[in-house]
Amino acid sequence: HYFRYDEHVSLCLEKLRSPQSPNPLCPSQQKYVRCSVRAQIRHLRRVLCHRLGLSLQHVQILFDNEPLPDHMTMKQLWLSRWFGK
Amino acid sequence: DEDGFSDVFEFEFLDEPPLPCYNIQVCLSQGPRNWLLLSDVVKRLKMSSRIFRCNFPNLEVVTITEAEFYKQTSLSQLFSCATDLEAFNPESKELLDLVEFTSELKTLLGSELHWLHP
Repeated sequence: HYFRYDEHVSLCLEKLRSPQSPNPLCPSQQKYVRCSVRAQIRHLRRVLCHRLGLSLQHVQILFDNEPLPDHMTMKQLWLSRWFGK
Repeated sequence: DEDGFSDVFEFEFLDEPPLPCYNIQVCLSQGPRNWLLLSDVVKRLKMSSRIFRCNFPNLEVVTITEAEFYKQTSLSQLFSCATDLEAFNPESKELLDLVEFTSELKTLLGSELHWLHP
């Protein structure tokens, strides 16, 4: 488990405001995230929930408006959506 | 592990586009690790390489030929985009300085770190 020596990917997160969102103001302006290719969507969700002070069911990670599966790794995400881009 | 952080995921949050990070094996006695180009780092920090190395002697800097750098980086699926590596010459014997991408360097570059036990 030496995640820190893994390859890393960088993501740019864009906030999609839901109409029923209780807190439409984003407390953090930071939108770039970098992490191990072995991190999964569920890990990123947990981290974002913690940062935003929201519960897990209020944070979803989407790609092209489609929710990404919790167990998808960053590497799978990269290869399936951004390979060669 | 020396600091107990090897088995946690480290998430780095930044408000500007991250500098490219390269996963490179610099010697046979250790596996691949993550490095930034020293030239990228000093440019972002707006300081000279000499001052950087004086001020942060604990951040490991290693030297690698541009050809070796290109060879290893181009094997990664993450650098599948031609523009990522177009600035580098695959034949060059020029030397590149790499600085190890530690948590300390991330903080120095203004990132906020968040650790998560998987």
